[in-house]
Amino acid sequence: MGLNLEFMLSIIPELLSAMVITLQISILAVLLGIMGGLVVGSFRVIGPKWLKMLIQLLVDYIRGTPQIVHILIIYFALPRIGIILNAYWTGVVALTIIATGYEVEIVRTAIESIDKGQIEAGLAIGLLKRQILIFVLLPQAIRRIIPPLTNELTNIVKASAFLSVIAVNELTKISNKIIYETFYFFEVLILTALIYTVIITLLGMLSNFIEKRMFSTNSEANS
Amino acid sequence: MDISFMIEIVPRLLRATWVTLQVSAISLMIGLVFGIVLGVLRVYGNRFIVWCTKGFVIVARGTPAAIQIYAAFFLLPRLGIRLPLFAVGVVALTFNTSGYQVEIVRAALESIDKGQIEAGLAIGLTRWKTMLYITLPQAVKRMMGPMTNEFANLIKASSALMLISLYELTKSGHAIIAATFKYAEVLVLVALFYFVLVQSLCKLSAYLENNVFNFGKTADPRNEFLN
Amino acid sequence: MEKILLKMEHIHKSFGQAEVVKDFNVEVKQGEKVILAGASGSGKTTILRMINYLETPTKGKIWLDGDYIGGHYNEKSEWVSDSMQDLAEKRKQIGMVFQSFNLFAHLSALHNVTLGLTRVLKLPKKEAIARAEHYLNKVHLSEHIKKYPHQMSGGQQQRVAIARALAMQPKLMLFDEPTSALDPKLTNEVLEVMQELAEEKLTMVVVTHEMGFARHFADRMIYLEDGVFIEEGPPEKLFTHPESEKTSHFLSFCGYKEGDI
Ligand SMILES: Nc1ncnc2c1ncn2[C@@H]1O[C@H](COP(=O)(O)OP(=O)(O)OP(=O)(O)O)[C@@H](O)[C@H]1O
Ligand SMILES: [Mg+2]
Repeated sequence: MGLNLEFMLSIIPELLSAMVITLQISILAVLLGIMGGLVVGSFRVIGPKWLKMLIQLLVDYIRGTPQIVHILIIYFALPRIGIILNAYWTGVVALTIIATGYEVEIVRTAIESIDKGQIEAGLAIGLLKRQILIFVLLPQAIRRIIPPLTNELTNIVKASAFLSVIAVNELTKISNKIIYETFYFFEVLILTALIYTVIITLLGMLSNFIEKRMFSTNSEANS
Repeated sequence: MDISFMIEIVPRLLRATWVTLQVSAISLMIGLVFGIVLGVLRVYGNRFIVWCTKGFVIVARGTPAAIQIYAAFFLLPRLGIRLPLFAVGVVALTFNTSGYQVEIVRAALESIDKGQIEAGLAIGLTRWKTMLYITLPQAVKRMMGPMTNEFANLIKASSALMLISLYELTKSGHAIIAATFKYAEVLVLVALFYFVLVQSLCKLSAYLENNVFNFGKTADPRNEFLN
Repeated sequence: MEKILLKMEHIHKSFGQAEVVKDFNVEVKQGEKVILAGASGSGKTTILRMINYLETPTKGKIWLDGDYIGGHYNEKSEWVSDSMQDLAEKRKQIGMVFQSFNLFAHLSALHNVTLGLTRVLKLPKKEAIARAEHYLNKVHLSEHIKKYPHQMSGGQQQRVAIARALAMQPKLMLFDEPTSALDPKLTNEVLEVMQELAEEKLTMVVVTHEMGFARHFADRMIYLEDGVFIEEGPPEKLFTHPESEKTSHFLSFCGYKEGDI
């Protein structure tokens, strides 16, 4: 079963521009998600008990339900509550919600991994709980958030493939479209898989690199 | 919300949930075989074999489940393999989960104290026998928690089989929506079913890790000041 | 020297089943330097941490300069626990120096000191910096104010921590084994700074195993065993004529070790 190389070359531009859409949506979602993650994650750590439980329930729900189901829910629910968005932005909203669910946990883990002595030192000089959060914990948590965040981006890139279900013109949707138009599925799927693998492997390497850089050159000395 | 409609569709969704569970569980089991074989090769194989298993893991974990499912759907018939839709789903999910399971097995194997291996070699076992009788049995215990978790992941991933119209939970829900337009009722139920399944597996996984196979570790201390 | 600054009355502390402090009482006068001595696990850290309520006493009351810490009596003489705000208000009157320094890892020496000044005392930035520089100078660190914790030696870090506590101008300073994470040379840097503070009439409660230092530094020494008060008095007296067998046994052991070095 020979590959039609000429055909493969001819579809590369279309696939690459679809890849750009995939990356745009994913990066947007992760960045919007981190804002939600920082705020909600902070409340998850220092909020009143009922709020912590509510947040954990929502986080468990988002992480414990398939991404396609979230995408379908957003797709149907947004118009119902009067928010009419095109497919692209519906996709961004859906992925942002998914990303937030995971990023709340990332933020929480980062805050909880900070040495307890930092909190005690803050209390000892008379800082309030929320001041300790803002001036002591979050600034230190940020650097611990970045490596897992890059990793989260790879998950969101993979999740973005499901946006094909709601007709967002990202990589999977376009590759599917080409398959149905041409029936060269072997060629199209190989290229698509290759593009995803390269993106995700590069992001994984970036995450490792950041982690090594951040934690070797600047080892924190909170004994 | 139309409660009587919801009650009416529960049996149908339950049957679909059964499909979801079956396709996930079968894939998990077949994936386990690949996971253990490739995981062992990944740790103990020669350079070439390690290189191949690494490549497999990169592709399996580096491509979205959606693409893997399309690939199984289009490519198997092309290779002359005609399978029912359910089996196509199993092939796709097995490929997907094997990539993760290799890493679980590897992590478990590598977490076994080197002294255990040296002790095995010292009493005259070969490298492979040490692996088989000493390292692997200990590693299997450490794999139980992560594997339960992987089952939960597979249940979530199986929802992507709706892309090839396998009537698992998500596709069934989708079909009911297409026929009735009662998406709120359907999606609430679908989400709830998944949530209950996945949540119980996650709790089980955490329980296995902390209480059954914890090897004397204590739970991490929470910070009392922030509580 | 007569005014009483700190009172601990019938303090008990349990962790789960274990009662690690039993009926501890102490009064500390303004300007007094008190050493808490006792074997490892005798409850010294726990007592110190209860003074600024990092640890809540199971029973008993702590009183600092006119106010109870951790709560107060209302008009109907009922005990009301302090809110986070009230506690912060009281804690800022007490400086604490930790065994493991606990400098804010993301802030320079200068900003470790200014954080409390700007955020708790609400000083304007300029004034906060001037005050921070003053206290960093006092602990002989004027040249290192821009450095981050991981760029400083343990002794330097501990002196920054002392400056951070002093800059809040607390009524009372608590030191929990401030030198036990340091080697002998760095230990001396820190002890010298503490000695200088002693000469300024600052009230200090110190846990230390440096008995040589304790002997000429302290006005009073309290000896504990298993969370129980054994005896107190001028260090000289405890070293030479202790009333209890236990004290003499412990101190001779420490003294011997120190003489050895
Ligand atoms: N958070 C805690 N939970 C349970 N037990 C504790 C806790 N903190 C202290 N303890 C116990 O209380 C006792 C007294 O501890 P503490 O740290 O006050 O002793 P210490 O006199 O400061 O000893 P060291 O000289 O070793 O610092 C010890 O037996 C210790 O194990
Ligand atoms: Mg101690």
